[in-house]
Amino acid sequence: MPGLGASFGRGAATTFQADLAASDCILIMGSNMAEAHPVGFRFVVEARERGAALIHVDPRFTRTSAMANLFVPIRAGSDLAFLGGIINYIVSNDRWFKEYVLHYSNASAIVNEAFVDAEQNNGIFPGLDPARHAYMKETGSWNYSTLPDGIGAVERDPSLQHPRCVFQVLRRHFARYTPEMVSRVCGCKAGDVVRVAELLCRNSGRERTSAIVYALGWTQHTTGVQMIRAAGIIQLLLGNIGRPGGGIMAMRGHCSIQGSTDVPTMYNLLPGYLSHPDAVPQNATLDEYIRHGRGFANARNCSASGFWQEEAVLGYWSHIGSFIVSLLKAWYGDAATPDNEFGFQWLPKLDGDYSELPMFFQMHRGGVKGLFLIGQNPAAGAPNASLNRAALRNLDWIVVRDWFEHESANFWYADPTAGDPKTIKTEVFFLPAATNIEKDGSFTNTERLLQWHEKALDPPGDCRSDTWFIYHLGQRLKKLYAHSTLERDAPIKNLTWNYSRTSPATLPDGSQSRIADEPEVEKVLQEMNGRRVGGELLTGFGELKADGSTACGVWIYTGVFPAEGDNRAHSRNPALNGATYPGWGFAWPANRRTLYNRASADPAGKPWSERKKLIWWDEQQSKWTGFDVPDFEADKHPSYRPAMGALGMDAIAGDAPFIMHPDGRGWLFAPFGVRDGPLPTHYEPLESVVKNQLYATQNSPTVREFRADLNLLAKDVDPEFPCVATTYRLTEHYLSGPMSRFNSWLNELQPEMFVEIDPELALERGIENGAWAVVRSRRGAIEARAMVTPRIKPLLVDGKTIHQVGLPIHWGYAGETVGAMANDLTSLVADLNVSMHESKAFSVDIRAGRLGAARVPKAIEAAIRPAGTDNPIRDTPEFAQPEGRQQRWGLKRG
Amino acid sequence: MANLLRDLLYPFTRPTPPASRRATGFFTDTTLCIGCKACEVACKQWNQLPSDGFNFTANSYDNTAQLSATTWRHVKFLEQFPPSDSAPPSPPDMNLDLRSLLMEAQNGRWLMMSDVCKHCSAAPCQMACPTGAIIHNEFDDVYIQNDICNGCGYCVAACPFGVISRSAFDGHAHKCTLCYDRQRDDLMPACAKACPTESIRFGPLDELHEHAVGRLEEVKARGFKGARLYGDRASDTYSALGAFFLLLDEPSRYGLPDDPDTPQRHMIGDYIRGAAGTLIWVAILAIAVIARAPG
Amino acid sequence: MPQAELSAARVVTKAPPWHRSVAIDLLCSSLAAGLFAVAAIIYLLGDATDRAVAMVGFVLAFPVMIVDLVCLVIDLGDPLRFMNMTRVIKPGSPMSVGVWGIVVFSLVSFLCFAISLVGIGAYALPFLALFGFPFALVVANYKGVLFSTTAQPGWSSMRWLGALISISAGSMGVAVLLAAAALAGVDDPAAFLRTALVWILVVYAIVFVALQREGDRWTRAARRTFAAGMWLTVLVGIIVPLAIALLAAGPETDCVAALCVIAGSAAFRDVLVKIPHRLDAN
Repeated sequence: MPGLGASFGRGAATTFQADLAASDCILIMGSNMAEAHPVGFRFVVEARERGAALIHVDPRFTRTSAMANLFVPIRAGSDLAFLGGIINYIVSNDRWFKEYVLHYSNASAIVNEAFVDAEQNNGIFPGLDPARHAYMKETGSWNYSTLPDGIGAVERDPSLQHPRCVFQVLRRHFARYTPEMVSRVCGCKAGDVVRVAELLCRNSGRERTSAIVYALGWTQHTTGVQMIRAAGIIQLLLGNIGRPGGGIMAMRGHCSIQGSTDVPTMYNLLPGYLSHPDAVPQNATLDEYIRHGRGFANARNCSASGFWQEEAVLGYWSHIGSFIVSLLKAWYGDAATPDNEFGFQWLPKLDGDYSELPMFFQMHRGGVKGLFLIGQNPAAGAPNASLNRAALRNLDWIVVRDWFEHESANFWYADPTAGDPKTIKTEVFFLPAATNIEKDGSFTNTERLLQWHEKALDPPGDCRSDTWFIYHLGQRLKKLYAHSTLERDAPIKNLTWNYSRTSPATLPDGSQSRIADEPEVEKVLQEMNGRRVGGELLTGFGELKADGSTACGVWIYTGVFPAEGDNRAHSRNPALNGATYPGWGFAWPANRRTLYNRASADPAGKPWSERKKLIWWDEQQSKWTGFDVPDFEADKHPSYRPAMGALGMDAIAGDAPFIMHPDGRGWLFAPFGVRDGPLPTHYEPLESVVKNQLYATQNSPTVREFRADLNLLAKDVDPEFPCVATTYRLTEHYLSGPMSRFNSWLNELQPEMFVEIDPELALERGIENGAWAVVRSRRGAIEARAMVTPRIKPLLVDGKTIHQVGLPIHWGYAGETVGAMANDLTSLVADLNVSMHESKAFSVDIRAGRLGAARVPKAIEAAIRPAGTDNPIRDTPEFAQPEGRQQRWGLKRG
Repeated sequence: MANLLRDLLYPFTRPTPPASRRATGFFTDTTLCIGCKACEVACKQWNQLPSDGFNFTANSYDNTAQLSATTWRHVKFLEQFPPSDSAPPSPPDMNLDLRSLLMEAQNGRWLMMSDVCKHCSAAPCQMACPTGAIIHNEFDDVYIQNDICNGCGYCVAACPFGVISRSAFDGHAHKCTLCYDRQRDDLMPACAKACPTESIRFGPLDELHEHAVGRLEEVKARGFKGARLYGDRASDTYSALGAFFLLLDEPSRYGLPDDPDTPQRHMIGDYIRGAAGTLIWVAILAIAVIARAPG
Repeated sequence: MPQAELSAARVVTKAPPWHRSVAIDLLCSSLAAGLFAVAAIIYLLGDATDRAVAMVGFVLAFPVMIVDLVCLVIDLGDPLRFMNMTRVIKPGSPMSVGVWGIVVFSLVSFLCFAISLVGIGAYALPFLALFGFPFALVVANYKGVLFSTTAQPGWSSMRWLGALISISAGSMGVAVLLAAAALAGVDDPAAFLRTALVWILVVYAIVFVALQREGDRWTRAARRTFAAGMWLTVLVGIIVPLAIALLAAGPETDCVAALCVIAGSAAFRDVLVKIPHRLDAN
């Protein structure tokens, strides 16, 4: 999440969901929180009931809009223009929080002379290499200007008047995002952007705070990272970061997706957001890796010098040596010694992009032989699903572990768009997986909160937990390579891999678990937490050492298991201490609930207001205190100023809340960390129905396309596809449905794939409500039932009436209910920062009727009354039987 | 044979009813409902009710359509958008006067409501039931003892809200039990427990009434002129409801009868009219017999 | 087109699971009760010839009642479930009242049936007739009230339904016994029965018209939806037999009149049972 990472230092939500209840204004944009996160939405409703303004800006009027005080419809893919309009309103009307911005943001920093803003160059920043779709040349121009003092201190103008100071650059950059322009781009009324901006401004400041909530509606764009950056700029300008009821809440798409970036499942990250070493000289050795620091990976050009280098020496990331060495000790144990760089060379070095989209693109070209698919369903759920299925058909073998035989497991015989099953060579191994209630483990949710869940019962039959599978697979691999003397096998031989049980597993009812060889998951959490080598568990990441005396699997999780028998993720104290719930689970880092909470106090350490206090400097005790764990050095006085040439945390002043940044400040202008520009700039989606009104450059110049017959694009305002399509979720289903479409209780609530369109479009195309319609994009066509609803509105974009088409993503050809896949229409493209696709805005056409396909998907028999549920529950007295199972009269009809 | 005898005698056994407890009920505040249907699923799961089949209605997000013997919570969706709203929007409003911008009214709304058995304090279904299967239990909730229910369907006909229906599976009438089994164990009903926004509140009725009055004032103060409580008190024709609602529009918009009528209110009169009719034909015949033409 | 809002135009209530078997039950219970009640009146007030005709009524009433009970049990799905209704006496529930009426009436009509058929114990017949008479009237009456004290569209506004069903029961009883008397060639009972039938049909027509005049928009909608059934009721059930009874006398014509009365009653009951289903589906 470089959008948040570049703005504030950590790629994670800055606040927690319960804190939204303390907000005075909540802007939900790029998120349908009421539908996708209904449980967390309770806090939003609570805030509204306390009088907060609830604003929803979205292409569709959803269940979230239904709860909002103000709903603004905008064209899908135009969010950045709307946010730019808010920034422009704040700056040009002088509504920003002066003291906060001056002290806590980099507004006063002066930008390098060589920097030419996109404003002056048709929306392109300096350094673009069009051939490589990346900013590579003219190195260093995105940097701050430094003083010629030999140390490289950043040049600043506290009056913010210098024409090259960040604030002035920002002002000029967003000047063209006027309400009228926003209206022309987004299709909303000019007044709407003013109304939203005004509500945010009036609800920000010393006494009040506003929060912004986003989700996949922002991330799944080629400009998604920049949308999040724009939100970061708004919240910095309004002084809402690090304060109760403020912040940016990133709503994640899966229950533990935050955990999967923390630990991570990302090809280019090591646990705790350490960058994965690249196959370049700067990462050739452990020393080089540490010397170049984490900033290296985030800098846009590996060879350019710049402010990114400071991250290795200033701020919290200067501890990177302790983190990486402790990680290597955790992984390789005794085999990791100072002599062999603690096993650094056993880590693979990256030579390219191995993220999901390029990987499946390679696979579809036959570049991948085998695949382990654990809890994922690319055949229906990934962008351009038909290309993904072609990729799966090109594999020699695939191992699928899941609850049900979903689309990615039965593609070889059930996919109606595929050929004869006999022609498909892929060998499929389907392994049944245990559900979350059938295993111990933890979720790390959207607010960085680790919550432990306990196994309630044994999984049925051969179902096993994923941990069981990975653990035993590892054991077998280790056995296989035990006698190898080859250097390349050393990582497997030396891997610490001992999570076997020390005591037999028991179930909550006291009985013995049937699965004796289930590994002990708490041992994994303990490894993540870290311990002194051969000694006790660590209580905080401050104890980590770079000399190999500590081993720690995920440094940011340190403290979750501070002592044997003390699993903090398991704690369930629901008490509110004034602003946070510190006893409920464990929030990384160090159980801090609100990140950058130093900013909740003024530069002198006093709360901005009594109403919004969170932590403050206690002069008597000479430390920071309050309702949250300070995200700051606990005893650093607010008046502390670093000495010339100070390093590490000593370089962070007592009034610099963003300790992960080398300058301790929030970044309005990102000198590094975002690869497609230091300031957010609106580009149209690759497939758009209008020209970019703001700049001559139509699309983001850094988007990567994957050229293939299965992945054609309707670029440059293709008249064949005049409607804007967007994909979304419903409360009733989950993802592409591999869990929910096998459940009758959920299927009956949303039984069929549908397409939401406005009544005017329906009339124009002769589509009846409830009748069939065919939706077509450059990649293919699908059929769905039409849901004609006034909740969708045609928008007037640049004088042209634009119709939007909404497509839920939940169906496929496996399950009790089946239907067309929205992702057969989406495309495979990738943004430069995170290789993210663009499923939230693309071009389609729609007509009445059906496809008349040769094969239609077949549903498995609906378990309207699953076998066995007629029987009374055993060991339960008659009066306590659930109503549906009461059987005294035992008469069965029909 | 012994089984037959046991089954024959079973309905005649009369266990002592449990001592009366504080009356409980639901207050469903539709202004807080986000339409997530968690109540529907929680209800089905707890009570082990089967699915009603997969029928796409294209009526907003309501594919449940109605309460039934196997659906005891039903979330209704009500799309209220003025017809002019579907026309292309007027040209951008360039008037940037803030006050007028902030005061501008919203066009259209999407109302949601989780419907349930009303647990009427004088319940037509209970009055109609010929077996005594339908009772007010110790929590004063309307409860069908389905081991006694004979499946006649009279309660179905009697309910003015269309709540009850007879299951094709076992031939008994079923409806919300207000989680009688959970209440006996001092647990909250499954739907109220699952509701993320406390749109469904469960509790002692007197407390719910107090809360509801406060809520109505709050909601009205926020400018919802159509806000009203439904079923919080008895009308001339109907008793107070044990599950009552806060609505934002007329009850009929939500598929509720505006003025529910207790059918049994007319029973005595109907009997008298029936008796009068009977008397007339009996008299005609009697006179005809007695006063026949001498033969 | 955009989805219709839920509106006042939609039926809120659920139609009870009552279909053909209930319509047949409705007809049979009326016929049985009508036969018995008419027979009892003739038996108690008439002479020996009349009693012979009344015996036909006793003989017919019980088998018809058996058909009715079979229909009821089919509707309930389980014979044992009928027993559940005998565990309570609820005067507030027309169905409970009716069930007790049916239970007693069935027993009495069985005894009368047996005695009339076998001829043993004929001395008990007047007492049984007297005792069974009010229960027969309960059976003839309760069904209409049962329907009108529901929340169903149409039914709930038919205030005279109880009277109508009862009169219809009486008309059927009289018509059938008239046919029996005519077939047996006993002119005297046939004559006064014919007179009674005429007057009862007149009252029936008046109440039927009254029923059409009352009611809400649902009854109006029902009249439109079921116009054919309604006209059948009037034409076949009232006008034709009335005309026959007034204009002709004889076994053939009386039999046709009786069949018409029964057919008209059946048509009305069929419509009645369908009303909530059809309106619900609209």
